Amino acid sequence: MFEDRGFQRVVATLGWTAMAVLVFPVILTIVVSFSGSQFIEFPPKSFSMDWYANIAKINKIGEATLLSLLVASLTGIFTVAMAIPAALAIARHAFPAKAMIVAFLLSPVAVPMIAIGIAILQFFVWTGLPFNWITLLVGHVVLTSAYPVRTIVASLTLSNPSLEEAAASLGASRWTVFRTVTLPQLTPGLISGFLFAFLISFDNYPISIFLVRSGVTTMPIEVFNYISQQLDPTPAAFSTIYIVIVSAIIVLVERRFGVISLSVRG
Amino acid sequence: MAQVELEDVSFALGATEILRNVSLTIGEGECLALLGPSGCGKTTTLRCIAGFVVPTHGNVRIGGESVVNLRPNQRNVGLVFQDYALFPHMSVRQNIAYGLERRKVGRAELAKRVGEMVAITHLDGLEDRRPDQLSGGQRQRVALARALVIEPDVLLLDEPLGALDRLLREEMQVELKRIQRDLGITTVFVTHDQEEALSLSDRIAVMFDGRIVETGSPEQLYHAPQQRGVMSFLGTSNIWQATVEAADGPYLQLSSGDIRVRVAAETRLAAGATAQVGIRPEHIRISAEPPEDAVNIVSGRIETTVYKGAHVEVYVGTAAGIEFLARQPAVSTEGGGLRSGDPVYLSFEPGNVLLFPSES
Repeated sequence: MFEDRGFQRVVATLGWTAMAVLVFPVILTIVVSFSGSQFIEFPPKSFSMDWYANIAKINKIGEATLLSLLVASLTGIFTVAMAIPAALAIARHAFPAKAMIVAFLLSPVAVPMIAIGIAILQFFVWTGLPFNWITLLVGHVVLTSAYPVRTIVASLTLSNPSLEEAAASLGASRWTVFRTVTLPQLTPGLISGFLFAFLISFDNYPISIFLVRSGVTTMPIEVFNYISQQLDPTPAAFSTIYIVIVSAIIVLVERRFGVISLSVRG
Repeated sequence: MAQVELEDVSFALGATEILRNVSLTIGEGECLALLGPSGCGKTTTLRCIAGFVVPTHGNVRIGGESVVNLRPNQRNVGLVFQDYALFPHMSVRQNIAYGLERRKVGRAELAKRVGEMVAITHLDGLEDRRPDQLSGGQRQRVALARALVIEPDVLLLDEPLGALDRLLREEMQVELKRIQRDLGITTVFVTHDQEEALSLSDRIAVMFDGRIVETGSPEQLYHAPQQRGVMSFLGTSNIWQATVEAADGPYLQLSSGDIRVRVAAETRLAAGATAQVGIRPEHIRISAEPPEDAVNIVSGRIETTVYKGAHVEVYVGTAAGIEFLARQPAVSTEGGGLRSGDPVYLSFEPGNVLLFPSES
């Protein structure tokens, strides 16, 4: 059945349609960002770079982007650091209630973000802690913690356990085995886990909106605020820069570590 | 280099007994094969020596010192895995140097020893490659070099040639034997391939079901196995059940239907006792007429012949219902004059017939 030409054609059509649906908004954004019109129109009637110059007009955009970068970087580092021991336990050991604990660790993927946001908000209100960028960081860590666990488990599952035994038989202590053999095997999982956490944190809106208070603001919040007041293509220009940078990073990392295939397999 | 002793070693996982009272001494510089079907416990035995399996009972000694309480990294053993387990993120040189770095060997000494090992294992020019840029045979040599460079007390090989194709396997067999002899290192290797065990080792320990059933030199185990199971596991054989009739001069006569055999047996069995009788296919002669000087003659009919290049395997059916396999040198004429359906006579020397008293 899978060799059938008709079937293959159907699959190919579906595949290309899905690709088009995914890619079209991105292309639309890029094209619109170069438009000369005051409003978002497609196809644009004239060309201009004005909207790129206008990015600075978005309220607090520089400050907000820096905070988003800081929070996203720390989120990536913390979630990956927490995910390594969890992934090792899941991939290499049997322990009581393993299935339940694994499901719990992966649950942030399945629970709606709004629900997580409200839960975290209530938690912080209950603790009475002040709302600042650290609260935001904690929220993002909770939100993204599941992703590095998944990618690191995938890396571990693909790596050969006899490598660790070989290292031990050659005289390496447990810590040395981990440092010289296990960790290098995990690199693709660590990188892709970090990327997932970083990117989800960097453009997260629904959680952040619950956790920011006066003075603290993030890039997505300011971009949304701008969109709700203005209809010009400035956010499109901003997004285009964002898309180009992220695409470049993903291409580089994929070339070097093959992380996309890992995420698909995981 | 050291002697390795396993003393009454048992290992159980829950209720499953994997090793049962394994006792074995591997002499200094000796190459011993642990041979047996898969699941017989041979790999577990090897892992006991390496330290990855801690026996539930018994003792393991290397060079006279008990090592049961030592972790794998505290024992000085060289282990070659079936899949080689080369570190994929390291070059050939880094792989080989790994054990020396753990031993804090100085830079100059390390370079010298890695270089020597590269020469011994013929890896010259490949030092900077990564494992995925090597052929199967080269990978195996890196695994061997990595295990040998630390000058281990004992070299352990798990199915060392299992992952190689046939031609390469024969080449590496010669290579492995050369290196083992040259270094004079105590070696234990695990295999399920009887040919590999016969050609590589000084001594073979045959394992069935978690026990060592017989040990001996390859020649001893092939020509004079004490156990029926060992005879049928090593090479091909004809084994059938027979009843002791009487002692006949230097021979013991046994019968099975109308097949009578005389065995040059040391063990005297009482008339009426049952025993297993075995003969190797290469010890059977085939002739069209009954040979006059033969002590043991069996008549039958050729069922099929299988051409194997150097020899022909002839399957002969007898009136007693026992099928014999005889191996004859192949002659250039088509079929060697042996045709299915032809009546033939099989003859063999009493000294080549093996006798296994009852059960066993």
